[in-house]
Amino acid sequence: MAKKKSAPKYIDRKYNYPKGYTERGKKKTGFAPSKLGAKLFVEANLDKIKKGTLPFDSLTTREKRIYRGKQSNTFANTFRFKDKNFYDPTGVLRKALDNIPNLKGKRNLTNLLPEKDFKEFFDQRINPTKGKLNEKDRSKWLEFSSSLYDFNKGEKKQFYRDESGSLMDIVTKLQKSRKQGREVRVIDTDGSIKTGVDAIERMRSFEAEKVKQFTDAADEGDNIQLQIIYISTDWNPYTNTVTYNLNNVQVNDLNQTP
Amino acid sequence: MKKQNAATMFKNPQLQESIIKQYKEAGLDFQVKHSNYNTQIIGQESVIKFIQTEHSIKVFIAYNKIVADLKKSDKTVEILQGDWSTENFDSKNGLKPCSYKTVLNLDITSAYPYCLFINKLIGLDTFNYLMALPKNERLPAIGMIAKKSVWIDYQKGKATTWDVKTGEYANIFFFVIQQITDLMAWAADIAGDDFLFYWVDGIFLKPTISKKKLQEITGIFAEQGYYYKYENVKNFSVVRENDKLYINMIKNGDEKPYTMYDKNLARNFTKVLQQLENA
Repeated sequence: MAKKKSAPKYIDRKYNYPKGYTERGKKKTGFAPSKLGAKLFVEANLDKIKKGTLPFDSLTTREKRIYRGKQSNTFANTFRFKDKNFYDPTGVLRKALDNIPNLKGKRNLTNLLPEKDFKEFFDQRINPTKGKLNEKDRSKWLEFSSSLYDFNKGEKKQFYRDESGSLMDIVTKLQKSRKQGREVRVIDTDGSIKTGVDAIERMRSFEAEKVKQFTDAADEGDNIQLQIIYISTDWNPYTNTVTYNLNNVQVNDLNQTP
Repeated sequence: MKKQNAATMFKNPQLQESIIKQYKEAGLDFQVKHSNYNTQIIGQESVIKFIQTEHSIKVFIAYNKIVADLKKSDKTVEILQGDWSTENFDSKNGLKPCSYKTVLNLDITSAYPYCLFINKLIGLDTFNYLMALPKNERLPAIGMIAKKSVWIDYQKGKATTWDVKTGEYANIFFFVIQQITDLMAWAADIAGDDFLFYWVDGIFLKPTISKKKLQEITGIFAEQGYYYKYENVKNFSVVRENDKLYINMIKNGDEKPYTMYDKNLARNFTKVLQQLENA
């Protein structure tokens, strides 16, 4: 039996809100929630951790995890301008910004660059040919593009788990992809477009419909092994958004496969 | 040759245009001079002058005293040969829309007369004369050294030639602007994240600025030979519309709006492009 993976338990420290911290226009003082506190702590000490002045080993598990996330390429190359994210798969913008003292390490470029020029820059100046997905990136996307079900009718549904023990249902995977800075966009069966949380919710209901369709057709106790592959994954490297088209989905009944 | 008839009126663009139109239609020979201070229509028999503000005789005396001193100063020739920037405002790189109940405003006292005096461009007598003038007369007296005018010649009602005449000592005025701007930029650099913006001879800082930074800034002002004063600024707010900054405040009890463009955006973008070119 596969070992059940439980949610990570973090041993946190107590964090105070930094001086002058405001949230939705309100000043915050006292203790901050651990999740937020750890994030603010790592952000404030990013350079020290990088240099080793603040030893990596002295960080809590949560802080280590946040720090690793901030060291990832996706994080470093995702830029914010007003309410939109821009992902530069080429990494050239990050390199250019890091060579300018005032812009070093900056990811939110609102108020720092002219809006029109910045958007044009993303559309034109970053050569799309430089942004082609390499094999590693491609496999990362495919990781999020299929679901596997294995259960007996009448029993509780079981999802396959991958080698690391992660659930392989689409919702878990898409949420994981969003945490990594990727956005999800869904073209629904009626052609309408859904984004963000709505997109994930639509993927969930779509899968539930497909699973129900096969379950209804099976007899009590029958084994159902289902693979749902979202073939039409289109990726926009500039916004780091993947588009799933629900009109182009392959559903494989693995019990029927020779 | 002195004209027989002369009339002086306050600026009235519509009247100016209609007189010029009449002269053109009548096929007269005349000249039009446009400057920062006035517009003159110089005809064969009369001069019509349109002025923006009427300055007292003291303003012209002060201006003449400055010019006389500039002619004598050893530094004039060297400064006249320089290339000086006339940009006299800047804001924090990445300034976000914000509001503060109070803001720290440091103003250099009589920045331009002191700058002329400190740089040995005017003598003590002229300096004292300038300082005795009210602020609204002192600034035009100094500004006059940068006077610039456009002359258009009309012959038989048709414009034939035009010329731009710049004051002989205009570059001295630009030098003064740059000296004060450099001082402001220096202070902004020390203030770092606490800097908001500067405008001519006044710098605006976040109320949270540390005493140490403030002492360093005022120390530099004093070291360079300038006096400064703190102004009472309340209800400070910054609104951004792309590269335009709308800043409002109550300064010494009066509402004071500033509109400026954020030069940092274009500056940053140019730097990014340069980096990409070099990559």
